Amino acid sequence: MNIATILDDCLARLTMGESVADCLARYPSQADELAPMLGAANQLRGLTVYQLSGAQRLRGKMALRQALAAQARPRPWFAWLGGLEWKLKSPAMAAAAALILFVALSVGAVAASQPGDLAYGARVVMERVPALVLFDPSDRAATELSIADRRLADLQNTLQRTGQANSTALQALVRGDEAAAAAAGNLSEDQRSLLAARVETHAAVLTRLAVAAQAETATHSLARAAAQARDIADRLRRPPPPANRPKNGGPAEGTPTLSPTSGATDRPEPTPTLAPAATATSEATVAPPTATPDAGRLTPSPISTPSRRPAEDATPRLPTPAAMRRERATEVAGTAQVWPTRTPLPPPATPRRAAQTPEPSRQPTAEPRHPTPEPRQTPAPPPAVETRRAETTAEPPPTAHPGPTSNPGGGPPATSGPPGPQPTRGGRP
Amino acid sequence: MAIQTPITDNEVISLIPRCQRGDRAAVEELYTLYADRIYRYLLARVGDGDLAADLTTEVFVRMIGKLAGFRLNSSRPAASFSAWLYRIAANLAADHHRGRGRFEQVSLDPESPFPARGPGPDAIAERHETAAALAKALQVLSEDQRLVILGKFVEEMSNTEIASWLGKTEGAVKSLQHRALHALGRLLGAGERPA
Repeated sequence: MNIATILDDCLARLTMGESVADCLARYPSQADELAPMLGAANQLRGLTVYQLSGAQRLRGKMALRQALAAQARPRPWFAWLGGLEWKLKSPAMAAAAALILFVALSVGAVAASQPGDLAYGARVVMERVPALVLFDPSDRAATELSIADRRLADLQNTLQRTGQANSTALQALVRGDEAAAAAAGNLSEDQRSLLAARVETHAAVLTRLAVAAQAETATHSLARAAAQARDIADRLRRPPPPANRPKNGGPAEGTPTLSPTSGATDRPEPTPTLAPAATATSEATVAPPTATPDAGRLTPSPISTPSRRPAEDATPRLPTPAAMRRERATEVAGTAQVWPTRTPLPPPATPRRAAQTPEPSRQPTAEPRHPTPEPRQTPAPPPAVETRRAETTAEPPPTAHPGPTSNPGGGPPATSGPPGPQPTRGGRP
Repeated sequence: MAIQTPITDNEVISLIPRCQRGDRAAVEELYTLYADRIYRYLLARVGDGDLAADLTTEVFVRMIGKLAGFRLNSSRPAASFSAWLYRIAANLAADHHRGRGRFEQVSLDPESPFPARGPGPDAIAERHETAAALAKALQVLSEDQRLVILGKFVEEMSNTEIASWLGKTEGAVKSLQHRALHALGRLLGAGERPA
């Protein structure tokens, strides 16, 4: 029998009235160890005589009634703040609460930001994240275009509100279209056509907005963006060269036009597609981005072609750009504010043909393997382009065609050369 | 030595839901059942009768505030409620000791605490000294040891009841009891073996 059991037996005997001495006599070998423990037990039993006095009991019951009455009263709405204050006394809790509050406020501010706000740039970046984590080219291209749709809506709202074209939204829109084109590198022709239609819708809406814009700078930037969008749409309609098709579905190598960073905003696109648009709207100011010397060399822009738009016709009829804008804005005011539909704005037939003509002009920049200074002699595919080129190359006068002298090497000046003087400015009355 | 009537499961089962609804009569009945037990526990912890009485009231006030969140253990309702109530008392006593930073000597006010039976002033003073010495010695025990000792000698519970109250086995209760009494015997200097 161990000492704990012996002790328990002795305690039971003490409870039944046996004395300490009797208990110790029962266990003589453990008596020395048991004696102090049984003495302490006897002292402890003395505690049972204590109880609350009547007065203490009464005071206790009064306190309970008060507590019950206080509990029955409804708590004020701000009572929880007391608990919060207690919790925030801990530095870690306070820091965590501050961090959560900061993140919540920041996310809210970013999500609610509009073009022109400080946080709008962050919103543009955040909203693009879903597209960056998609690996399916089709999904990614569609998502990029959806995000570009949002930027276009932002652009429209800003234009309505302030009359200015927000550069962040505009750049994000063109970048989104470029990214969609880059992602569409290996897609089927049908899919690319669908994407091209959506990009053309962007271009059409941008053109309408450019015409409707009051500020000159807004007109310029919107027109430039529209031209870039049309160029992207054209690239999407063209099948990518089979040799350049990557195996992994990424953008084709050696095809700078499919690169999302190919200068959608850095480099004025020497595409003639803007010129037809300008012609169609009788708006010479829409064309400035195209007026680099290279563009002039490579592309017989209708703007600088007397046969397409004789100066004596245009100048007297449209004395000021503002008047031109007003006239055009009257025509399209109703449609300029409308959310872009899936139906692309069809450019006029003649400019559209002209839009196809830059094919040879882009060959030197896109494919440096054909450094032919004279685009007319470049046997670049596709054959259809050759035909269109043949149609247009006869038209430009020598003045609008700087020729090989302006680019003796025949390299890719459109991307590397600085933007030259903009004849359209000079052309403004 | 006062013989206490054990609190039955049925009493607890009928009172707790009424108390949770804010029934004043039920709260006072619960107070009557447990007040002296809690008082003795606190007296053993703090060694001061008045302070123990104040803390006892505070225990029941806290109980009212927390009772809405209390869930009875259906297998041992009285033991589970008692353990919960003693835990509140133990926390209060610990708070008191932390606040004071040192052990306070027992009050010698002759009117408090009142013994159950009417002893003379000498006996009262002797009991005060005994209570203070016991309270001081109990501070060195662990909470489990303290509860076993108080259950055994203050509440006069059996080992089985203590085991159920604390959620331990009877063997563990015996072991805790032995270690606690061993420490108390050494501290109190009691139990010099009679010649």
